[in-house]
Amino acid sequence: MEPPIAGPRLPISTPVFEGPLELLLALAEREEVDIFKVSLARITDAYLVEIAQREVQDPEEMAEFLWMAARLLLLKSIRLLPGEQPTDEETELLGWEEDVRQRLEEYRAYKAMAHDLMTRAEQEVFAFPPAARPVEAGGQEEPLDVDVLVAAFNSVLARIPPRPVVITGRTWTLEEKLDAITLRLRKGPIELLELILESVDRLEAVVTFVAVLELVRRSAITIRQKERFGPIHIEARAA
Amino acid sequence: MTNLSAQVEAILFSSNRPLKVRELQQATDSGRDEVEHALDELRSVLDGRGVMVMRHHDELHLATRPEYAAAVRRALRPEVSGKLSPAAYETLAIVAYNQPVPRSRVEEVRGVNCESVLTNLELRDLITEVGRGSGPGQPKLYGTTMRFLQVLGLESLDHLPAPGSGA
Repeated sequence: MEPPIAGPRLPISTPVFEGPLELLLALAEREEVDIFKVSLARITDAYLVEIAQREVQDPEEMAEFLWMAARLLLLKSIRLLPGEQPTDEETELLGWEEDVRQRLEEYRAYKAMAHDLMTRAEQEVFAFPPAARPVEAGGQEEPLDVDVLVAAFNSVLARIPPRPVVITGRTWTLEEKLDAITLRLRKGPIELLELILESVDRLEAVVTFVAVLELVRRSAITIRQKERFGPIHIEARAA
Repeated sequence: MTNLSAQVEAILFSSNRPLKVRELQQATDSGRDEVEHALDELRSVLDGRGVMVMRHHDELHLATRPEYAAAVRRALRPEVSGKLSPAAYETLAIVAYNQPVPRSRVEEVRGVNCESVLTNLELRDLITEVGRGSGPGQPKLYGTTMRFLQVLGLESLDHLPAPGSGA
């Protein structure tokens, strides 16, 4: 049996493909296969090589990659046996291929638009609105009131969806989080929202927030908010 | 410049939040057509100046022109928010060009679950719920925000780059 022929792996800094569509598109571009002219089956081997090397993170996601692999193999097998009257299943499969092609074409178009937006955003095109005026009630001046912080946290927490009950993931201890945050802050300030949104579930979000409060208490960090409703940044306090 | 468009300019200049056309009507005691006309006039007067009238659907705001963003940044040193991931830009593009759009449509295009990336964009105030669909479960419909225009330095949604123009 011949080993599958496939080009080199995608570049070392392999991007994480979020789904089969994104991977198919990247492969078609790498292999220079015009997926709109030739069969998708042409990239089957490359696809198999890629998913064989993938680390299984989320079983559901992996299932989607495997499902696509199965369809590709089936497609390839019927392409290898030309001339036969196609069975119903094969006809359906060819319809599926057309459908995937159309989706890839649409996806590619949006990727291009996303790229335009990203390029634009990176060109320093921000349009600044008038600055917030001081109001009589008094904004949150430094140092930031912890109550306000808690209120802000609650509103963020409410928007992190609860996880399904089946949880086998790790739990964080406060000490671990303290270390993790301290380590992160060595690289520079972080936006609080960003830090909290990295949590995989509410429990982790809570531990993260408690850790931030603890670091404030220990005077290890400072919290800044330049303007009302603006981003809240945390920063290591110079020793 | 008419008195009304000068009034509108003054109001927009002094407001630190976007204002609806209706609010401008009330403040100036004028009709919708008059305010719209005054806005058109203001827009042409501001052509070539450092600020512009930014419009998102029915909301208006003054904002600095994107060409001068670098200078403003040097002067004010505003805090910068974290960068968006490519996945976030893809999602943002799908929302921007299809709004109002339900999550299912975004996921259909990207072929993956987009719940968390949509939540993230919503928290960053780049997209927001703009209504409910009529389908089963009345799904949330997403649209862009004024903040989206600011981040991309767009005068209005009509100024979005035409699909495929840059590629």
